[in-house]
Amino acid sequence: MPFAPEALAFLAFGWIVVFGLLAFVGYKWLQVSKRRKESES
Amino acid sequence: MVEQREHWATKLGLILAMAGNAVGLGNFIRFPAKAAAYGGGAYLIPYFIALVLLGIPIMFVEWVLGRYGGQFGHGHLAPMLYLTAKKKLSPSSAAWFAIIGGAIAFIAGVMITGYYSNIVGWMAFYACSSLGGVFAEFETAGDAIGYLVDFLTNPVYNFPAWLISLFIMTFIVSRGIRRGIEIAAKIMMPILFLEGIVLIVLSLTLGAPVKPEWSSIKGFEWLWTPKLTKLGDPTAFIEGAGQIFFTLSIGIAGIIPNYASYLRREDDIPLSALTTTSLNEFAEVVMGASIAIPLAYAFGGYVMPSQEAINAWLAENPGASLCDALDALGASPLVQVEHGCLSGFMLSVSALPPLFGKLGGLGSLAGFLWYSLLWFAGTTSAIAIINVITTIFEEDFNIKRSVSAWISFTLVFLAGVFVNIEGAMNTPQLTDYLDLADFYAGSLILVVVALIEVVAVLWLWGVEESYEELHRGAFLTIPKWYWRIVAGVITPIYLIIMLVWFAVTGTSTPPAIPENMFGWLAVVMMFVMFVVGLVINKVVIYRRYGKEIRGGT
Repeated sequence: MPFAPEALAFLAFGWIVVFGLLAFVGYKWLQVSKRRKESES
Repeated sequence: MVEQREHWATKLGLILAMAGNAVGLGNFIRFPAKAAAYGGGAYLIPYFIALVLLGIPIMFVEWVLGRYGGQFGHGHLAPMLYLTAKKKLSPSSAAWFAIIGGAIAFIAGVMITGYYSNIVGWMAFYACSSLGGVFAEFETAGDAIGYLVDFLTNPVYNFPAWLISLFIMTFIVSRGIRRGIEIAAKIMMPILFLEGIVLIVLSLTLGAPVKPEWSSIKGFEWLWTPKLTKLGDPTAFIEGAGQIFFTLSIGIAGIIPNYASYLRREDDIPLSALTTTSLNEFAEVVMGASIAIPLAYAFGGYVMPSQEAINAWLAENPGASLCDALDALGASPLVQVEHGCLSGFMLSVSALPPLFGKLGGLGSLAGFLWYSLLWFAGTTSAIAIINVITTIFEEDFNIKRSVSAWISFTLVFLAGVFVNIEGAMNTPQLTDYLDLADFYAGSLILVVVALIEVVAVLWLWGVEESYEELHRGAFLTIPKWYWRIVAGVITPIYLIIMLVWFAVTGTSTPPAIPENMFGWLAVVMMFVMFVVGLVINKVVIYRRYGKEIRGGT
């Protein structure tokens, strides 16, 4: 697939920020649910 | 005094409703068009700067304001502003700060829902048109624009499309938070994301159905190719900031404070707010950028007339603009978007229908998915604003929710019906009422309201106190410096710069200036809504806090 490197760089930048944010909040929610389970048991 | 109010049934319901409020038409049609016009991939630089310096801080401010106000039984901005402002101001000054701030937000609430619900109705009509195979007859973008004009000027189609959508929105709101908005969000948001993913796959694997060199993936590459020189224009930074406002629904009539007012006192704010922001950014940067532009490229490629041809045409047509020249010389829709001549909405209804038409049955289905996705996105956002207006009547005037929702319907109907009438009267501008309302209520006022909220929370309530409130029951700690320096100093400075920019650049030409009597009607309607907002907020605040304002206890 011909895709200009500079276009790829900015696409990667945008997607890394967005998926990074999603991964961060997902991880935090996981921690919250773990903590909740531990405190219940 | 803490009052018993309805609360969100589940954390998921809250986040989906908040995300539904944020994810709107702007994610899918405005963002890609702005990116195309202001630097391609490089647009992400001003966009993400605005997200960090404006979007996230204002998001936190609005959640804090809402949850705090909700503890006192308030679901709309004016009394929330009063409660925070009175920490520093005298009660009577705080009351007027809140009454005026609330009235400005009220204008935005009613006017935006008025025209926005119309656009949502158009999307319903387009979804049905696509399923009915209408687009198969379109050869050019001109055919599609002709279809749009026929539709807008024909109240037999235009009026019911709007009214049915507005009925559905009001019905959802009338059922309340848990049984209405939360259920709707839990159904609509997964459908929206699913439709978006199907459309991304289709868009990026479509190939080149019209011309071999116009493949959709090439369009995707075109969008992401950075044009760094565009960042030398400060407009890119103002547009990046404007997009953040639209996309996160911040400053819009106090809708985030309204939804946040249904939180419990100890419910988390930072992580929940950041989660809705993340979902919205996924819907915008990943989904929004992957559908409309690649599809438009597959339809019309990137055909730019030569500079000589443009110059010659302009010389023959004195007084004409570059946009006129591009249109007359057959520039492709994406070129017109890049030069700011075609909005994301117009791209969506001019370049995409003929492409869907060329794809046969698959195209009909894709068109249905695209326009119904926009309908869902618009509906979940519009119900949030209708809920703000409903809350005023329900909670502050003790009118049953079902009745309050229909009072809101009446107000929105009044503010929105002129969009329909202007179309039916086939004025030369066709959408002057909408454009003017969008410029003031849908752009300028958002910045004003956000500034009022930031001042109320960070300056009048105080950095320490509001930081403590932000972290009550929090699952995530926000650095204190971010709250103090970014939210407390940089955000308001950024907002003031935006307001000055608006004043200097945008108030002497249309859409800031009315072009016909409907434009003037929009001005009158905004003034009327401001007065209505003042009266309502004065009654609400004085009825509840009159004693302390007049100097009693």
